Amino acid sequence: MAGIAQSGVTKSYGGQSVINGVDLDIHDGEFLTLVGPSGCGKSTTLRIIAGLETQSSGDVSIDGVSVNETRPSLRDLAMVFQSYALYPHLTVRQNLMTPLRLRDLSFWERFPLLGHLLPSRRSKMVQIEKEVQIVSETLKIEPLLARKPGQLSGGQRQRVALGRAMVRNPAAFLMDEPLSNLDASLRVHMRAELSALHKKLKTTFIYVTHDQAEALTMSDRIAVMMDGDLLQLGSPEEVYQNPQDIRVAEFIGSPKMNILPGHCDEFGHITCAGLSLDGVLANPAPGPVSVGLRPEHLTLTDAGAAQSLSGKLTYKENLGSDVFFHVTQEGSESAIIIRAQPLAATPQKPGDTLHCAPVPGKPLVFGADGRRLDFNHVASSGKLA
Amino acid sequence: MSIHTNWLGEFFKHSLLLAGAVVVLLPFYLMLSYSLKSPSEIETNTGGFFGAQQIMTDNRCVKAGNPEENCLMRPIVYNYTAAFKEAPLVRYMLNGVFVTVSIFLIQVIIALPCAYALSKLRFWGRNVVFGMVIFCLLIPVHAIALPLYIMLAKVGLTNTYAALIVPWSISVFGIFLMRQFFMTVPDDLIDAARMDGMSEFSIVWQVMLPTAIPALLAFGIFSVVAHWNDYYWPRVVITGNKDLMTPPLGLRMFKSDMDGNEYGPMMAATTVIVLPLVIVFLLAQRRFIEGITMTGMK
Amino acid sequence: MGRSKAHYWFVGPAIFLMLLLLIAPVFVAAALSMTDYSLGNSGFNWIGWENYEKLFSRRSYSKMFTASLTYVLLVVPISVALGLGSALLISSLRIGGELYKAIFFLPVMATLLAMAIVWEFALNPIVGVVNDILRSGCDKSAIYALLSGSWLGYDPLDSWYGSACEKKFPLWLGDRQYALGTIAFIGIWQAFGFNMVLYLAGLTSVPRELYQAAQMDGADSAWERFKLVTWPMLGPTHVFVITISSIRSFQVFDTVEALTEGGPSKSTYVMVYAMFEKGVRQNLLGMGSAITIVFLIFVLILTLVQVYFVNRKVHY
Repeated sequence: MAGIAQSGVTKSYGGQSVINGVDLDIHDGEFLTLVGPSGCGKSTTLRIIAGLETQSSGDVSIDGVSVNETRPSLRDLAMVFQSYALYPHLTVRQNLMTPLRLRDLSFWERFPLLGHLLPSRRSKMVQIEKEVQIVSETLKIEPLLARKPGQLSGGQRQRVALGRAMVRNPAAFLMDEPLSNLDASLRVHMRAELSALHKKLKTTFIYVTHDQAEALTMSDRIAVMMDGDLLQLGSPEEVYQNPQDIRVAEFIGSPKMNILPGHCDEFGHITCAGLSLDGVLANPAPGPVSVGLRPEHLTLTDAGAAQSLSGKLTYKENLGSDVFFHVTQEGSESAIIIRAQPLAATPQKPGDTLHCAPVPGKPLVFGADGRRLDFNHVASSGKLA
Repeated sequence: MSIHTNWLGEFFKHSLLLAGAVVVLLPFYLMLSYSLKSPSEIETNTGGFFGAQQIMTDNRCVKAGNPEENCLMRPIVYNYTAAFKEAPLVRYMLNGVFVTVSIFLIQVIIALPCAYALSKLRFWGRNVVFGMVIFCLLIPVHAIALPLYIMLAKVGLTNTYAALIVPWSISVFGIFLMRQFFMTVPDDLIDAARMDGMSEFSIVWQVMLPTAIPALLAFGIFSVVAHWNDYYWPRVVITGNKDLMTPPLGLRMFKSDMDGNEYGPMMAATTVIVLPLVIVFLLAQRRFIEGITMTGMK
Repeated sequence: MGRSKAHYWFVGPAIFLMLLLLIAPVFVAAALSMTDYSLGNSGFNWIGWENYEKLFSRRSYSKMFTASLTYVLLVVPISVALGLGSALLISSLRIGGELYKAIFFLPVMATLLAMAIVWEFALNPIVGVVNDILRSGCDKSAIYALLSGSWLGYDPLDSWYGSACEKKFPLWLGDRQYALGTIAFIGIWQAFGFNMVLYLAGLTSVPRELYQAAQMDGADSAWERFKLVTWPMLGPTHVFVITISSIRSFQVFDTVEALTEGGPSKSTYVMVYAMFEKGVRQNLLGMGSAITIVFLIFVLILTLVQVYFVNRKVHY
């Protein structure tokens, strides 16, 4: 069991910097997800932890011991690849046995034909086969043991890849977008299975994905990366409710958070989209700001209510359990998305003018550079919300 | 793959590869070097790469009755002028160009429409025709040489350009390659052309041809190189008319015509024959290698 | 699909030419092989299997089979191994790969006949470079000792090199014992670059993640990874390279015709040369056709073996 830490890691390929100084401190036994759009450096970070790539600068350590010079197989980590990377010419059983054979049998014991003559091999092979049996039972892939990867479905291959990693009882599992090649329903099912597996094994899981929903549902903590930078590291709730950077705010949560251009005056009052927020910035800085409001933090109000936004309903997205209104304001290109209950949403139709107001205490303010600004919400009555 | 570069390993690899390179390049080096040297230098293997280039006497010119002063020249001059005098090297090269280009053009004219029809048109017997193509792919070229030779002899066409070109006009390999390529062209493109009123004939040459340029280039390289270097067929079919000889055949004739000891001019002739392809290859190696690989894999 | 009849025009010429130039000749060859036809004769006789009987009984033809098979058995394993070896070396280099690739591919491009003539000269027993270099080692004691085995305690005159220094070095192409090997050497020189390029293509098609998985699993050395990933994944390429090499080496002609003319004592009397000699030079077209048919069968067998292996063993 291990805590993995990474400090000051950078990586550049021929002048192009892919990772710009990332510090990560991964707790023993936790499920940490590296999430971000394609090309943000998350897979590279994972591979640097694994030892498959060398960092340009910075350190990686496991349990406090630096592993910069240690080769991948000795770091006691196991990896599940996006393409599964199963050996196509070996059966599932042989695929599962490979890591154990390479680790436990010496070169001569592995020698074809002659190796079978060595007495030490027998007991080791018994042990190896036992391990393979245990893992295949856990993952329910016993009926597949005699088949080759080419004869398996995507989901089955995924489980075999997991099995190959599990068989080594590693200190941590590294997973590089393992679910992205599966179709939607299978993916949802596998998410639950992976979470259950994590709870059962209690081993550290480091998980990479571009799907923020996976990150939110499966992780103990999320590390949001973009353009080679680590933007925020925290629990899903924290990252969702309290994004520290506008990019994190926009990336996490579906549908996307509404970002409204606004303005801050010299006293710290914020106005945006015809709305003026209750409260002041802790450090007023006059100039343009962005105000973030999640769809569920806007409620429909009647026309004429104080503190409301209005616009024309352009599109009504009825998902059954929720309805999302797309409302466009005069002169604005993008729509504001508001979540509403199905019942309340029935009368409205496209073309209508709608009014909505933010739920108190929920608007987030971001500065011109994207960083979250400290905004003290004050209720209209003057008390802090 | 390893975390650090293993310089010792790299050194070892390079040594092995260099040793191989020496063996591979040896004949090229010798060919060039001997073409620059005098007969005595050739026989004794002296003179470095360029030879000392000392003035030598052209014995044959002396034997022909010319005074000795007129027969003095540098070895390189002697070798190359003798080569060009003894054999119509330029003629051979031109033949090579003419024959390979003609073959390629005819192959394209026959193969392209056929490939188009096999990949994009549906007609009765399509599978039979494709089956024929596959069957013909199995027939090695040497197996049909003798009967073709007889057929050509019967119609009196041996010793003609037609004999050199016509048997190669059908390239089942080209048909196969183009068909595989055309299968990847979206049908929509062709349907759009049809909607625009294009005839099938125009579609082949105005729509399919431009999209097939990469495959055609690969095929072209393969075809030109193979036929430029082909020795067997011209040897069978051209019997004595020097004007029609392709470069390899011409070189062979030169070798048998020449006196046993005229290595210098022999190497000069060889250099002239080999150099064009080699230079083109060196200029465009990536294309060549890609072309030959791609055609090979298919 | 319109009702146009265009496809007839497109496919027609190809069909006609395929029948005329490819398919018909095979049947003509089969028919001729049962005759004693010669060009210029007005008629010919059907002689049934006589040509084939000669093929399988006469000593000169058994030499033909021996020569062809020996050549193939020499050239294919060595040129495939060299091709694989050089591909592996080149793909693992940090710099210079492109240069070596171009160099090793050069013989494939250069006119074989021309380069064969150069090799012939280099292998000339008296003035050729090869024997010169070998001879020069005779005087240098260190090299002599090494190559003749005397440094290991053997009598130098027992070794090949030692006795050659004493008497003379082989005549190579003019020597019955060495001629085929020499022709094979030239064949290997010419062919391995092609195999190398095919293997390089095969190597690049191995998924990178498979190597990474192997690293994670503990395959630490290059040799381990080769065993676990590279060699198995090259399966289809192996089949292809070996088949192509075999077919091409069966077709050897240029070097034989230019350098040895089938000799000395028919030690290099390969099939395609025999076809040429019998059919064209000696105008014995019946016999030439019989050899052609046997040749065709060999090539067909090789191709079918390849198809079998591609479908069976390589099914992932």
